[in-house]
Amino acid sequence: MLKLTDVSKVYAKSGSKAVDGLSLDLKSGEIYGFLGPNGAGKTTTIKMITGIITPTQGKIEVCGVDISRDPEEAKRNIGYVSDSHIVYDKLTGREYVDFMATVYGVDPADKRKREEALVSRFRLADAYDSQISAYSHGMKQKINVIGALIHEPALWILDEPMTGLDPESAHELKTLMREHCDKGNSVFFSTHVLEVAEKLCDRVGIINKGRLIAEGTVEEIRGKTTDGSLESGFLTLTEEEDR
Amino acid sequence: MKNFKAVFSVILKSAFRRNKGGRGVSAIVAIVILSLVFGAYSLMTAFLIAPAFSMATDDGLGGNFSAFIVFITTIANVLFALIPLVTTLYMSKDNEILLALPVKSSTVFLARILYVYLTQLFFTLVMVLPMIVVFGVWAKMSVAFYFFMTLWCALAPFIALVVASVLAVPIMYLASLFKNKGVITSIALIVLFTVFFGAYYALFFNMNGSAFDPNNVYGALKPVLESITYPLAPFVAMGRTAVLSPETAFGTLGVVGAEAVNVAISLAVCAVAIFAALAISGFLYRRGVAFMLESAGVAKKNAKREDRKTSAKKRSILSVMMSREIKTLLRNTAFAFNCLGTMPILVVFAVVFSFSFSGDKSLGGFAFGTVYAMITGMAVSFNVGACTTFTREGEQFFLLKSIPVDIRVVIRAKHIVYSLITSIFYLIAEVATVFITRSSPLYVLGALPGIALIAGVSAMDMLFDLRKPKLDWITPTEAVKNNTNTLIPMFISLGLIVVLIGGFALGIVLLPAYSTFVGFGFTLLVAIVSLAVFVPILYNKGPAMIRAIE
Repeated sequence: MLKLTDVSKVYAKSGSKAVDGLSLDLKSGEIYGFLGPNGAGKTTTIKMITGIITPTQGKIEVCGVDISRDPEEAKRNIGYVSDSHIVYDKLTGREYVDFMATVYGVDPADKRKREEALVSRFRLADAYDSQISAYSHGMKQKINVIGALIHEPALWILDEPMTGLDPESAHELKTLMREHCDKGNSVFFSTHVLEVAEKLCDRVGIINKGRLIAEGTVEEIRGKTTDGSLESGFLTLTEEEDR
Repeated sequence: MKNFKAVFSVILKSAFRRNKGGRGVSAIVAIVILSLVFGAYSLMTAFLIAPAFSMATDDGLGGNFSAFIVFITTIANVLFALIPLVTTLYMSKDNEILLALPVKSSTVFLARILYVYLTQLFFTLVMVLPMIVVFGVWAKMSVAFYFFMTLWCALAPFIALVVASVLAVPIMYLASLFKNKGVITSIALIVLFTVFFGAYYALFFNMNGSAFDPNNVYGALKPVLESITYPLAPFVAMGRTAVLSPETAFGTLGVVGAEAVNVAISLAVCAVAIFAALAISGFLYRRGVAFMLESAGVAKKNAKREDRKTSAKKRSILSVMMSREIKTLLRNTAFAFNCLGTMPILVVFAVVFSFSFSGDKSLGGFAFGTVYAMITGMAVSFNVGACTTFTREGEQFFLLKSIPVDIRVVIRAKHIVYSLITSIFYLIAEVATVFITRSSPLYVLGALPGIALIAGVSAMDMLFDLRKPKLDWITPTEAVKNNTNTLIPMFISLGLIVVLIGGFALGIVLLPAYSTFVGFGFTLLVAIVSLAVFVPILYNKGPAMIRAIE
């Protein structure tokens, strides 16, 4: 579903290596949690996967399509929820979803069916025809999610998706992520919230200073610590790397 | 072009739609007001220059005069297209999301460049159409004049976009060599802007000799018009189509033959310009956006380093807030250009006006007073930085309310920064005026009431912005252009010019020997009134106004 082979990113201006020889392979039906401290390279990795920035070296394949060779086709398989707000906040929720559906070439009948289901699920019906600028942070995140799922992407990528969501919406999002994977799709998301990763992920990867320092199931990471928690695993591994 | 309509529609809605329940007037209302102002200015200028155009037509130079109009329109477009081009293509907040979508970057690029072209076209037509109509009616031109002049002026933004695209390359490259590339880009653009306007006004006033005599204008323009046939051949071909000239750049062919050749040359030039504009900007687009997005990561690292340096210095809160204001202004090219670009022009105006008015013997001692009043009025009306200081904060505005800093310190920092920046340029302009008009060095003291007036009016400007800040912008240009918060203070400030000239006139009537000092005294009086009225309101009501914005 998603394959990164020896991917690196060096920012030309600073010369710093934000991501260093990263390789990972995400299977169908899998939820992958991407963990790491601030500045570890999580967002850079996600930006490379979504085609926003270009890797300095390495290969990224989405559903078997090399994103550098055929970016439009690769991106068609991705639904991306960024960590920043929707910038088109003068559009209404409906207009934003219409825009996303048009860009992804969703059939109007399918679009209607999916948006009805998602809008009702996130309880956004009352605000759907209001401008996004009037939405709360959580509502903006919800409309962001609806826009990203309107084309039922094979790979759903989320950058810090739980930020600003109320417990009910966070629960709804987690359920949606699981259901998405149960249909044979995959989810790749970054988070700081280790409990979310612990409960939700089939596999996690820990990145620090641009390098993937650990990867495996939550149990495998826990096994590397004395008290058997993901938090200890995370802290031990990143501290070892820092030394 | 797949998805072009969807992307273009989203760009337009984001630029022009007003937030429901939002504060301030919509961008469209602002554009209408600006159009009326510029249209009126254009109409006035057209009536002043129309007799010269008529004389040129009688002399067989109507084609070259028309070419000159298209050429000036193109040059003005280069200047005004550069910032929208750079900011719309490379600095839009939605670049990231659009790059993540399955849309070809060429589609996004075309949607963006069409948006830049249409906005340029709108202002071009607002400026040029009144001129074409007045010139056409005055010189009794045929329908061809109206048709071809409108057509060429409508295509002029494309020629300008080629030049703007090319100029954007060295500016962005030069900027990339420095740590604070935003600052360097800003300075490069302001220098370019100043050089252009300096040259323009120097030429204009040299041509005039004395103010606005059509015979003098034509007399000075005639050699210029005669000399442009070959250097500006493509424009001359355009101009000659408009007047149905029997001449081409290659000789006399009769009206029908020459018209066909001139139209062919003009269309070919426009076609090449459109192709070149799209090719150059398109080639740079993906690289430029990647450059800007990747620089954001570097900027964050630099910011961390600076944070460490700053904390080591232990500066006062006021100086920290002032430094923040200056950095956020200078590091954003669109902000810096729109807020500071007019400042060096103030000095250019002072120099040009001083040379112009000091040569007019009929004004006598009143010459210095007139220039003084004009540059003082302009200094206060050019203070776009103060008029948009809260608007430019955008979403960061709410951060100001959350930081543990007394909001009055934030207001004071902004007030000092914009009073100081304007005062520095004003002082240079004042010294230049004293020097060029060969006035008494004591007249430099006149800068003091002027600076006091700048401080008072800056407070008024900030209050206007604070009343309805336009915080929901996407491209930085939206925050500083199409913003009515800059218009009302500008009109009030321009009115001050008349009031201040009145002060000097009063001096001549009451105390002729000390008329200049009476004028300074009058300026001081106006300054004291502005300080007494606006500064207390800003500092006393400002914090509550900030708290009320949600």
